[in-house]
Amino acid sequence: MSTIKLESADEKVFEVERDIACMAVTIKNMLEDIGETDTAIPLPNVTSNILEKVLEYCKHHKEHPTPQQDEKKDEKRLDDIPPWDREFCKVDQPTLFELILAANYLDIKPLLDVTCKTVANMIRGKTPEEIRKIFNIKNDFTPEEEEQIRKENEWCEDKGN
Amino acid sequence: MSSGDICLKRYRMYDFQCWECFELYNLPVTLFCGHSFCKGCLEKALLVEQKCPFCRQHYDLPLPPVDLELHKKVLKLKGIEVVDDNVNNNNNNNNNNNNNNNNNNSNNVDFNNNDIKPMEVDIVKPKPAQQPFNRFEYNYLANLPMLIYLDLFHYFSPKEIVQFALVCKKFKTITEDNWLWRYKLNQFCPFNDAEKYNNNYKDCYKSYVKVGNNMTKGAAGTFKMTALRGHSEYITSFDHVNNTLATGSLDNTVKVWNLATNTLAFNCEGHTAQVNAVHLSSHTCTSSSLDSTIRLWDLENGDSLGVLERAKTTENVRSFAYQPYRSNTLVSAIGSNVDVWDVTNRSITATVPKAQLTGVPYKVSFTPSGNLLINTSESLECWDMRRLDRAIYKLPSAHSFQLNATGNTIVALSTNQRSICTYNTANGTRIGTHSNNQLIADQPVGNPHPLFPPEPEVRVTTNFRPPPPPTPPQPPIHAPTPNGHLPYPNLHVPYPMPVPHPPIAMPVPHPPIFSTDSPITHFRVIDNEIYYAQQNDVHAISIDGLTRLRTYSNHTAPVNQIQVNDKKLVTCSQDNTIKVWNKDSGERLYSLLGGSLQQREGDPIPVVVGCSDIRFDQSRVIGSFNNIIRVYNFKI
Repeated sequence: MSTIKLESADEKVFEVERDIACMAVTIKNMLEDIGETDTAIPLPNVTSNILEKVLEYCKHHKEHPTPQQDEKKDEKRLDDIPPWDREFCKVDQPTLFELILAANYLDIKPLLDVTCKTVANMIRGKTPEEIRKIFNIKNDFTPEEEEQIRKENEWCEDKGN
Repeated sequence: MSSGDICLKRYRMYDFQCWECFELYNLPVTLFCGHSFCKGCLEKALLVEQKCPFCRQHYDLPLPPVDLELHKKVLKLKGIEVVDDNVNNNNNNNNNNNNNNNNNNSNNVDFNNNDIKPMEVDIVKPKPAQQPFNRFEYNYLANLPMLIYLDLFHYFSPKEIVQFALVCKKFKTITEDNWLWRYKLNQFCPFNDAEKYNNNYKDCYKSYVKVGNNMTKGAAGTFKMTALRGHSEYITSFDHVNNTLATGSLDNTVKVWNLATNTLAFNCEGHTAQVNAVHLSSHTCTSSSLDSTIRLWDLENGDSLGVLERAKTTENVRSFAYQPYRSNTLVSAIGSNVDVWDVTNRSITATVPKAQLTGVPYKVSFTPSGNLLINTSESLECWDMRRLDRAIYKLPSAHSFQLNATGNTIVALSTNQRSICTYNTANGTRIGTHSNNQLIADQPVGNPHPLFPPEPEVRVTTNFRPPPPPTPPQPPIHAPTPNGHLPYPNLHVPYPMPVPHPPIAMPVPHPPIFSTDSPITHFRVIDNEIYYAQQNDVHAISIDGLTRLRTYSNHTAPVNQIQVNDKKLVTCSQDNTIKVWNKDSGERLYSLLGGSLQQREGDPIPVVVGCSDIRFDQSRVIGSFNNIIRVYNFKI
């Protein structure tokens, strides 16, 4: 099993199996472009602690491949996170978001899905006020603007009656 | 803007790449939305549409001038020395550009963490960091790349999404994203008409929700009723596809209406006797009449496209049907003949051999797989269209029959209208019988379908009860008839009733008979449920167990017709109302009134009192009341 080297933003070098690294489409494409190489692949957008987590995820899923789900199923569900992934996502908020960004940058669809689902579950059922509080977002609306938006949203209120 | 300062100090390779050609900018132009493109690329894209190729935001012409600041940076990156002449002059401008650019970048800059060292090109001297970056205070959720937001928001319902607009301005922008709503709309309603809303999917979605709400409430003011008047006699049949409605009447005409404007589009005259059925396809309207012809009409101009006429016949056309997926194959039941027509050549290509046909055919239909079903006065037969020499199987004659959605079950109402039977479409074996609200045990024994060749004695063993008493003479047409919808009692040419079966020795055990039971007048099959009308009520039974699920009870006169979709049940009755029900809860949502029941001077005599037939779609309920069609439009 051939291995490749990945270099994180803080210049730490990870040596991983090629197959595992290739779960990241970005890396896969890079390797296809440059062919065999001994030099470490720089990943300037991923810090070492995040890259470690990402590789942990890839390794686990390489060893325990999840059964292929029906691609046709258009419905997006929030309650189908596998137990291991749920544990994996039990991290502090900045790490979670950095994982999302890393998954996005490295193009690892299942990781992006699972982290997005985790965030979606955090948001689900919350009022805007609560969301602002949880995620430390500043309310940049004036009361008038807020009223305006409420008015615009009225069309949705009766739904489901 | 909050992340702008952090971003300012770093630039990456792809900050200098055109989003169109992914090369370093060649004469970059920065649009108002903050996205930059090579001038040439943008001009090319402009030929297609005047929208930012990246974020799809509309921009105004003329194109902004070349972004000199960005251009210089690109040149520097390429190693070309640029004389920095008037930096100060353009300071204001530059700041704007920078900000724009940085907003753009902030979508792509994933980590503004201090310990990240991306491939950076030091162009603007990084300002000394004012504050150490605190990742726990950093507002991650508000600074994710756009695509991630879309991923994230896909998990929420539209109601939740509009709530998010209240969180902050950035969220508001995202909740208005066209692509997000496009996804939501396609999920909610795959066959939408977003073009009408300039492809603004949110507006389109809004209008659908509004129509849906109106249709659920049915309160005054949430719909507009239009009466389509034009026929001078009772309307026997109508059909509607999108905005086209075709009606056939006892006054010998077919009329085509435009439902967008609620006006008469064409008056199709040609039949010399009463029209008894109309069928709409995308470009043609097909009508059949008691003058023994089937006529085709052009929906573009109302002209006659041709006549299907059987030589030397003066008998009625009782039924016709198009073969699925073959728009030019039509099967007709004229008199005692069942013929296959080539619609293009207006010629008969085959005829079901009369000798093999038991009884007088009065209804033809197709299974989804293309087999022909013929209901005659004696039997319900299934024929293979490829070899019309003998029937695949024959079942007892039915008052009426339908197929379920998948087409694997035939649901038939017995000729005495007291019981509903289900059969397997493939081989004709009986699955179950529902009678008087109880399931009669299946009797696979002694049910040797399919029959090859048909043996009347054996067929009869599946016939469950003695023949109904001979139909009493039809009551006067003015009074609500309990059994008024088939066949039309006052047609001048007598419409042959299915002949009652001769009395046969009943096999034992035979199902119980309840003579007090009132007849089932109509039924409708959807998914795994059968809805049938019995007197003033509609009952729902499951197709598998044939057990009673729900009863919809509110009409004050017998129910004439039932229509059902995945959410709603619509019924019309001789009490002159159309009622809309919540299919799953059995709750009545509202009633639509059809005017006075009183006969006025000059009104034609109705064949069926009250509302005789209904159709409904996403935004409309259409009912036929004697010689008037009433359209209840909820899209207002």
